Amino acid sequence: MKILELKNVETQLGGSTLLSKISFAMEESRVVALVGHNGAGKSTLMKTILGELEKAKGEITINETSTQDDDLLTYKEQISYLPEEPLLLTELTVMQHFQLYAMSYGVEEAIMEEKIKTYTSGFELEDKLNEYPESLSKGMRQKVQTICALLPDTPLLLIDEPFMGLDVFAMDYLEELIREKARGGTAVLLTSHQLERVKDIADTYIMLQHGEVLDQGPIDDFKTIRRRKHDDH
Amino acid sequence: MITRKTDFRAYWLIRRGRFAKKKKVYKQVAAIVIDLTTAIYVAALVGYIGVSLFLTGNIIEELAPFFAFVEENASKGYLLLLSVLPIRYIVRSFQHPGLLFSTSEYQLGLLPFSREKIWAFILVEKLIKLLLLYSSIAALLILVTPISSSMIISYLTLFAVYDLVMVVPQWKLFQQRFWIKAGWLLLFILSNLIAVILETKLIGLLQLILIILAHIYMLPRLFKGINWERVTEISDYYIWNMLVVSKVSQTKFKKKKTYSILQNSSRRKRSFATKFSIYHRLWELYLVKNFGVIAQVIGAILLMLVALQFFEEWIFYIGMAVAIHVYTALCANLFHNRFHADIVEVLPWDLSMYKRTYFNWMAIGGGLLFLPIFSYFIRHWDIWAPFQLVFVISVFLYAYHVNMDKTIIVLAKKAGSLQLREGLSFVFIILVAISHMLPVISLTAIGIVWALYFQNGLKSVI
Repeated sequence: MKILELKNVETQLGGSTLLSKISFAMEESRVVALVGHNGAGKSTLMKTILGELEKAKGEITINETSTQDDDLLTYKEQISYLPEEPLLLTELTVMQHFQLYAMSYGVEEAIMEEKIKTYTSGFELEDKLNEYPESLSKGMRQKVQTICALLPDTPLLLIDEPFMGLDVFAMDYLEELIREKARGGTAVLLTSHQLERVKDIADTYIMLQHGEVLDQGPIDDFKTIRRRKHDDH
Repeated sequence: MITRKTDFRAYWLIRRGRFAKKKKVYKQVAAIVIDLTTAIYVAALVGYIGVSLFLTGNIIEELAPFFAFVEENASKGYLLLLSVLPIRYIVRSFQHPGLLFSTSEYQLGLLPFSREKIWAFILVEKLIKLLLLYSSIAALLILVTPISSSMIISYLTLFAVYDLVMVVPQWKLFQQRFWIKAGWLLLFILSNLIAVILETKLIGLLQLILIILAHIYMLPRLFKGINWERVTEISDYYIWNMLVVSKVSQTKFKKKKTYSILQNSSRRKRSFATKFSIYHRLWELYLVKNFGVIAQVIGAILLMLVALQFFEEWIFYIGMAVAIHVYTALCANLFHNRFHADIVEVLPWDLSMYKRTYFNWMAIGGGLLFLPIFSYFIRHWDIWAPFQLVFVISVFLYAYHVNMDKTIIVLAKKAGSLQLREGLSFVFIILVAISHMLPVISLTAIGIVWALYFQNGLKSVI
């Protein structure tokens, strides 16, 4: 079953076209690497799929049933998102963030507690549950945000630069968790500049260049990203 | 030994540098935005129009009845303003220390310069600027309008006196916790309501005397318990947040994220007991961040409702209709924007739960706005007054739910239209405005309550 399908999606901002004619599909239990140069449109595509950026054209469907345009609320329940920069609220503790995510996705309390115990142990955050994000290091905040995104079992998991700011142990652990999610049926779309690590996890790749899909296929066929056509200056 | 002259020189150095820097930035903006030739022609045109209208034209004669109306009501409302004005500064104290003491001035205080003197220099500078501003406004109004110069001068003097006497109270209040400020605000609102109900102007005078006497207590404690980090952070923001520059450069000057003293209370850190507490906390955080805007709108509506009580009856009823429309629109706007702010934007939304928990917060603001309405009906009590009250409350609830449901349809991107309900809401608001002519209209309250119950269930009417 196609968990995610994009048909001719176009995104514009301030008169500029950021994404153009984006079409691809993802099956369940697949990990897809979204690669490309800086400014290619990877994060923009993630935000468009999430609904954070309004698409100008095209269609985005999850689970072959929910579209962004017809039923946004059901659509949102099927996506979990791990942003590049943590979106944590300074006024909520780590545990309160976990509770917020669990409540928003309807995760039962017993399951939430079990997952929190497992993930905080794996990321070495057991003693930080009552801390505010301001008192954590950048890497720890990223770990908290990662756990938040992994708490719900959604059909689709979007991850923007998952390994940014993590130490090598946390990166290995996260890699293991992503594989576990995929084994459980979740389709994972992730972006990363750490191409070697991505090659180990992903099944297929999509390469973006200047907001368009340049290439896609099995991960074994992926060599490296293309440079931007023009320099900035 | 450090002399007064050196303190002033250090302060003046900071002020000159700040002025030079801002002047440079504004010059850069002007070079981008303004074409000199066009600007000269526009200035000449505006000057020509101004002279034609006000000095050689008869627009002043045509507007004479309006100015007479303004002057008559201004003289009636003068002592009322005396009691209402402190509310402005109390509301401001939630977001503004009253005096801008930036990081630069704070650094001077860390060096061997007197912080008290720096503070005093800032106050004197502020008062000189205000004096110049009010003098200019007075001169313009006296020149251009037929309103008596004594009336203009007395009003501007009142504003100037309050700007002076409320500096220290606002400075001290800014340091206090939210609930202390809210308590003082409520106290002053209540005293105003008593003044309105008893139709006494003494309360305003008493307030002013008490505020002046309170300086005996506050002045020796001026720098006690000051959260300098917060004062300098807010002051830096107000000094350097140049609106024109932000618009032209499309960059926003953001306040640094800091959290309040309450953050460290163990109660705030406890895990949420129920999902209601999570929603309430999300609303609390969001509304506190937007408190400035909320306080300004509610404050303006409150002032309008208090002031309009001294005008003709029909004006007050129009004021009530305007208050319902503006406040319910504010509620809907804040609700909509909540889902495009922070972490909530990327999470799934249970909009019915968000709406349900939101109502408790909006009821607080609505409750404040109903205080002057209650006092009006108490003063003008007749057989229809209780029906009128229920009618106004019902229309408020109906308009609120219509606005909220419309916002939810937009957020959820659902197909659907509320045209009929929106139309009804508009009609009911108009009926509030004209119900003084036909009090029997208030009996439609029964119909509105039924409609609300039918649409939203019992919880929407309690």
